Amino acid sequence: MNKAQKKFMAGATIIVLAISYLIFTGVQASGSYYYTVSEVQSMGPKAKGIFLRLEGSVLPGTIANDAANLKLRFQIVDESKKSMPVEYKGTAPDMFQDETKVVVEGHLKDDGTFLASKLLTSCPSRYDAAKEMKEAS
Amino acid sequence: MNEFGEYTLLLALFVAVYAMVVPLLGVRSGSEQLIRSGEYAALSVFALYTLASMALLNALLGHDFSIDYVYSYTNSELHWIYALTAFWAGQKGSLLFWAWMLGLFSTIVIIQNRHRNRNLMPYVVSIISSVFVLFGLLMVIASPVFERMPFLVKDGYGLNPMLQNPGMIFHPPTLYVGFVAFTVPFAFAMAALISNRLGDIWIRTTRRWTIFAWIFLTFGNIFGANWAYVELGWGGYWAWDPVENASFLPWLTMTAYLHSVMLQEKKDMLKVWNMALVAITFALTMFGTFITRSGLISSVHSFGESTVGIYFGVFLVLVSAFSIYLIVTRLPLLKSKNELDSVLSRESTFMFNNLMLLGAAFAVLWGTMFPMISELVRGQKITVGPPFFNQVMVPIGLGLLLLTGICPLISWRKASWMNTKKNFITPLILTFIASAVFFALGADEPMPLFSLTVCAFVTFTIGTEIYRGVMARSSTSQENFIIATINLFRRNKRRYGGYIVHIGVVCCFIGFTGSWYNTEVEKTVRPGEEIHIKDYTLTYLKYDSTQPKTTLSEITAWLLVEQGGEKLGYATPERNTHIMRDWRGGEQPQPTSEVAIRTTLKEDLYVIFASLNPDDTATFKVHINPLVKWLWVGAFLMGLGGLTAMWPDAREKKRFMARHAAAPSVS
Repeated sequence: MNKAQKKFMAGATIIVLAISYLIFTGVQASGSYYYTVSEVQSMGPKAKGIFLRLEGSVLPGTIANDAANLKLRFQIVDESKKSMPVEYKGTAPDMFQDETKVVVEGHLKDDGTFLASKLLTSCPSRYDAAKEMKEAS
Repeated sequence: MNEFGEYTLLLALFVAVYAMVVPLLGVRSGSEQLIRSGEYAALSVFALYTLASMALLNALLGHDFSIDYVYSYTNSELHWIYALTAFWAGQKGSLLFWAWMLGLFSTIVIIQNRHRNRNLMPYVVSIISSVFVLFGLLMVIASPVFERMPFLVKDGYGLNPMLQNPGMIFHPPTLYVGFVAFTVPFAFAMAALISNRLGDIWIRTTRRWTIFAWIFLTFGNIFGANWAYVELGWGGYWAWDPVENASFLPWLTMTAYLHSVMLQEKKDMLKVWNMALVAITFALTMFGTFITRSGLISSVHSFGESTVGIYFGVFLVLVSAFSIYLIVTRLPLLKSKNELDSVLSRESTFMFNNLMLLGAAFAVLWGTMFPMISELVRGQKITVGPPFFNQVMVPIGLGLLLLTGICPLISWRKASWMNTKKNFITPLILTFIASAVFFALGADEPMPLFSLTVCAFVTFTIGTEIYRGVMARSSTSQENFIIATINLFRRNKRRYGGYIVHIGVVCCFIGFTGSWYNTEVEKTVRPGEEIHIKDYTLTYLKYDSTQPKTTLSEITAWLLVEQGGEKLGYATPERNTHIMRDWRGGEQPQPTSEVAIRTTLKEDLYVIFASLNPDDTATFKVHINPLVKWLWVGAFLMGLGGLTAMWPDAREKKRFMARHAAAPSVS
């Protein structure tokens, strides 16, 4: 290796280290865990105060939209049928309705309500007509 | 007609296997006839895919709901143009579209090279045909394009309303062209490795294909961003969604390759690196197609899990193993003739640029795959959202932009400090002045101010470069300023095309910087009430509701827009409801919102009609997004610059011939 190459390698090492550092701290700062409703409920008081990301679907008939104050309330339910009330400040996304699969991010309040700072609807998976029909017939 | 399509695809699969195997047999037995036969087979694959595509288009336009794909993505009321674009709206159709596109490109390659590169062509045809085989297997076994409905239905389910947007006409095909076209450089690179012809012939042959793929990938990404901005209605254009990342990844490595390949052409350096970059980029284009079409990582784009993923996975492993094997066994032949002479040289700026682009690609890949990595390693699914990507990518992006500015000021091989310092003086002074101006105009926080300052710096260094060239030219050739500029660009298209791309990049960064100052207001109002945001006043007047189709109802809100007391016009955001009908006659409403955007170079006023409430009030979200338009302008310039660089150049050809006459030992 000549002198220029050594110098280049020194610079390259700095860049690689800097990018690794950015990735490492980035994951630390913004990594979020997925939980289900029952997992959060079984965590007890430990669940309070930490940033949570809940997956589930909207329990039919529980959507209450207070448009004047921009508050949306509903219950989220997971596969084990455990449900949890959610409060979100803002308006519902386009695809939001009964049984929509949703991801909410936020914190658990003292009264057991989930205060969501973010509400994402995941697209219902592609409508698989043929499969459904085969099951029906 | 269905059987016709099915049998055509089956036949295409067999012919593709023939085209993959026979050219290799031709090489082994030294039979030019077998090699040609393989080429004809590859041409036939294209013909067969064209027939299959026509069968599918015919079914889509003719509303043949006995085909599952037609049923799932169209209905009888769909406008014909969207029935046509339904070709690439779903997984099955897009696989066929992809394969057809590759057929088109392979046909062009075979015709272009009927008398050239004869010792590379058998491998090129064979490698391209192996991709045909992959897609053939997918379309015949894993995800049959012409799959029948089990019984007859009267009407189709309909196309997802979010896909009924002009952006959807252009975004997927543009991206696919970018993905598919890179198969050509990959095939040539691997052919060069197999046949030990590692001179710059393969690079020259594929340079234009690479830029072509790059332009389309650039536009594909930007069209996607634009579609998200005008159609998804959340106020932004890029969310670091896995599929966005999947199309951004090959763009990063392809950009790296476009730079590093210049060092190989000019200096005979980085041969192994370039081979690796070609292989990585190709793998990433396949990975992109794979992520979009496999449902491996859930996202707004994917179509749910399917067996398609396994095929892509196996193919990716094969491609990686094959490329690594070839590169490792040819290492002695890939030895570079030159070494880096000095760190203060343009070469080293190119190398740092490559390192950072690859670092960026690694970071994006890491973030995208993190849920899977963490589940494997720690047994818990952890996601990283946009904050992760912004934190990592903003510094890397700014670093790269800074290099773009520094690069033209440092000379090739070995620059002297004296000279370099001299080159920096004028641009630096101008940059300081510009920085003060930005501060005065309101860029009062460190990050955006720094970003805009770097933008100014790059603009001034490129500007100085061009100015110097023009002055030199007009003094020697007595041409006036404008003629001299045109001639300067014309006579060195690659170099100045590159500068145009860089100016485009600067414009994009100006657009990104604007997002720092995004503001939004969300409010529920009665008719006559006002919404205030910055110096804008929006007065909600009324709403209209119409029903243009039995499956579509539209509600349009009317808002009077004023800025600083001056009337600008009306914003008319809409809330539409599409009725999706399933085969039982059940109806599912799918609401979408059409945003109203008033765009200027300074800022966009972006109005979303969030909901119409039972008590006669309406909820609106209003965003002010500064400088967004610069992004679209920048993308246009990047395309224009790319086109300039790939435009045929007689002088370039002459220079190449001269170089080869001087050094005949190219292969």
